[in-house]
Amino acid sequence: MAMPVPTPSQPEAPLLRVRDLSVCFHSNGETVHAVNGVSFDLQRGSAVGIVGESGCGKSTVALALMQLLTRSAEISGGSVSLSGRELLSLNANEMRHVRGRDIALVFQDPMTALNPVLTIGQHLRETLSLHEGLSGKAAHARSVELLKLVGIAAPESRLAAYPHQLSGGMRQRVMIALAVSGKPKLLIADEPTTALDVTIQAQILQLLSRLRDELDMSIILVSHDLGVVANLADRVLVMYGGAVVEDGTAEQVLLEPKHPYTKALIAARPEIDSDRGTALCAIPGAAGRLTEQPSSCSFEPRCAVRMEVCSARLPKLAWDGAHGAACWHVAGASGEGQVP
Amino acid sequence: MTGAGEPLLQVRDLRVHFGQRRSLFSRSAWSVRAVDGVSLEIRRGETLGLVGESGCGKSTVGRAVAHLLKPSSGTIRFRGEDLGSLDRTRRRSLRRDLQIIFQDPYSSLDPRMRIGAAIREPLTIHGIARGEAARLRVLELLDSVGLPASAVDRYPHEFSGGQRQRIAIARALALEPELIVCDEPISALDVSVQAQIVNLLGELQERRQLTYLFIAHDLAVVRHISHRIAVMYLGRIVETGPSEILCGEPLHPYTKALFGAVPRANPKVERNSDRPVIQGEIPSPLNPPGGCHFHTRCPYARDICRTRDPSLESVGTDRGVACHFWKEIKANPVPNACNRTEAAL
Repeated sequence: MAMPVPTPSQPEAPLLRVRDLSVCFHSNGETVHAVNGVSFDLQRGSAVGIVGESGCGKSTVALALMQLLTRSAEISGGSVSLSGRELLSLNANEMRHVRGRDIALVFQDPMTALNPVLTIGQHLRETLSLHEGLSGKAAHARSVELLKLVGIAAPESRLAAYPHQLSGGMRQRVMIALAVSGKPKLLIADEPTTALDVTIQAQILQLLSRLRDELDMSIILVSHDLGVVANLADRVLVMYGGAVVEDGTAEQVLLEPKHPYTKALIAARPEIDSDRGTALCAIPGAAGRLTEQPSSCSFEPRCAVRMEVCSARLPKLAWDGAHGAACWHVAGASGEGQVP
Repeated sequence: MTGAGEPLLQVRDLRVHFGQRRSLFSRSAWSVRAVDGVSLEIRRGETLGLVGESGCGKSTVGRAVAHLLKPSSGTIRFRGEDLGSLDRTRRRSLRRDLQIIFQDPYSSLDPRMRIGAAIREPLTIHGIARGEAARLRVLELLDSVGLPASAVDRYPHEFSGGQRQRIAIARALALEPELIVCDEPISALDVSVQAQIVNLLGELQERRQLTYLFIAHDLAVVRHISHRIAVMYLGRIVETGPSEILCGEPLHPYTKALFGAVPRANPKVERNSDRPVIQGEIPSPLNPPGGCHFHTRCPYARDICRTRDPSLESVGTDRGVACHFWKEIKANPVPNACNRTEAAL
């Protein structure tokens, strides 16, 4: 594909720049504001983790970047630029060329992502012919090479296997092989280890980390598990109610969290080496539905340190260097809405 | 009544084999030894955590204990009585005292039954309460799991996953059981809600002197909630002991690998750790490797491990480990075998 030449304004322009991304879903005459104004940058070769609980919008962000949302969804605003090229203004055909070649996606469940009636070899050949124009012996050789790259032993014999003949971990390796076959600059991994056992999860995380270095690929890792994110991500975004509530380096967010939700999320999770016997710090209640654009802090109803202002005005991310948190308790907080 | 000190539940050499014999219509015979000689004990008021990866047989043990499937062999004694040799009436009354909570509160509640009716059902079936008494009992149960009285007239779909798990717990508590088998009760829930349910189970245990068999794959949660832990691998228990000691100083190489693989929410620990990632896949339970089932992935494996199945050996008063070389490994924890490469699947 003829890549438009990126014109980075600075020497260190980010690979991916997301600004004010908003997505809503329309169903049964109701609008759900799933993602509200998400912004972040991703540098070349680095990994960002997006964490949050069910319904926080993390997977929707991932799908919106690929423009793979269902028909009931609408990207209602914002911009996504990859190497300086705006993706949201591309037509369907142009976007198809971006997928697989520039950005690739790995899903949680490799069993449903792979076609059960095609062999692993057929999957690889199809992808290679589509993106690389390879066929015959060249495609075969590249397939073997890719399976080797993702740590599959005896790749030659695995090419003839059907997805059901492989274990979950092996299938996820195949998915990763397919994803990296087009040498993407960005790999989006949406809960890639959630369906796997913990020893296999450790292997897949190790594999992703190795591929990032070997292929100089950036990674967006979407996960509900803070541990998984801590393992791979350089930067961490914490999402709640469709918005980023905290953004910083993995060390900043996980070791010196600022937002009460991040703190609560960390405290709610028992660590394998923490003190036993004390009650876990549960977060009361459950996340609300996002049928309206938030005009105040979404976490306020569950927050232990809420103030009057929290239910009246929506806080924006307040930055302290590279560490931002959207909370009225954070120094320099500003936001929208009526002053109570 | 049972004597003091006698365990509430005693499982001896439990085996559950699933399979099919060769027949007219199916030429192949197969069998899975889902549970292959498991023995365990749970004392009154304690929580035994049963952990292991998929296919290790932990849920099958739970189902056999809850009398939801018939073991192929072995005995399960509850309050000293063998569950397998009881007549219907005795078994039914014992079942009152032995309840189970499942992973998925979406499918374990009847979608067309109001919450009040769902909780009242066991009370009616066992002839415990009817009419006004039953209504009051239902409200009391809802209150004890932290749900409002207004839940009575609502349907399961109106509740979130965490609330539904509370309803399932209320239903299990209705008969005032002594033992509750918790089969992955929090796996389908979000972290913040998981903590609510874990805390609720802890409170209820204290208040009602409950005993739990807590089955889960989340090791951090199991460690948090359990007094003792049993680790399973392909149908067998490989190590058992008090949670603190077992997690702090695991003796079996598999336990070590399993606990080492749990990611910590601390980037410094995660990145700088030189803990080896255990390689290889979990072998198929249809065709488990001979000898010690773990030998295909064990960095310490030697010839004897491939041929002889190690038995669960007592260590001290309250621990057991099934490994030929646990003493050597404890003395010198560096694997002698060469590090398996990632490709050696």
